[in-house]
Amino acid sequence: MNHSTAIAEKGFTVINNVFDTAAVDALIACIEKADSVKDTFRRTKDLFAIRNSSKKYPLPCRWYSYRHCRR
Amino acid sequence: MIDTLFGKDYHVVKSIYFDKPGGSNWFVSYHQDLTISVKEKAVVEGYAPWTVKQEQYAVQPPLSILENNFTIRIHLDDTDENNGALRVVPGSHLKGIYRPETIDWEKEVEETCAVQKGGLMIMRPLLLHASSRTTNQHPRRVIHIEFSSLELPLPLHWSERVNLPG
Repeated sequence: MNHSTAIAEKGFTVINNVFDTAAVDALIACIEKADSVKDTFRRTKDLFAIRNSSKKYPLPCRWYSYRHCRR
Repeated sequence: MIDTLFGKDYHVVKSIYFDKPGGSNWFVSYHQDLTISVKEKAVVEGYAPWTVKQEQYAVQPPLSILENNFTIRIHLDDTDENNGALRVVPGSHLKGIYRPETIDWEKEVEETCAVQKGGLMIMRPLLLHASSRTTNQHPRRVIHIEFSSLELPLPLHWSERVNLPG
């Protein structure tokens, strides 16, 4: 089953090997730089979440992920 | 990839980063992602109920909006059933609003979505999904990004809209 068919029929698909290790590390580095005191952050011992995250990361970080996408 | 799978004109409408630490007891029972984030609250037919999370308005839109949207989850760690990989009910996105208490496990078959570090899970928001507690002490970090190709009826606006580079 190809990805389009899986999304249409099953509602989901998994695609591995999209971002390489350097891209994943860069994304993690961007997230770790974010200011975690803002009210869109939720931090407990069981979960750390950032809402509206696309606007919390610097633009270069966001475009980095596009440039380093393998597909 | 988005152009190939869904076509053009999609933009980001919501993004959440989730970091589930290795020792996490956090879990989420079966649900559909039924709300969208909007800039301001307004009375518009078909848009209800409303909630507020972290000063952000959220509302359940008509099914047509939810059926159009899709989510990409970028996995920053290897994820399997031991550290909170999503469990899903395949095909449930085709059944409209599907209350989890009505799931007939005699007919439905659960599937666990293992994803490698650097991999993606793409899903429809109406897909019933859940996440279990972590049992292997491994973290599960995910960037969850929702996309839509639709505009909301005025005066509603997507609150987190980001256009994709052309």
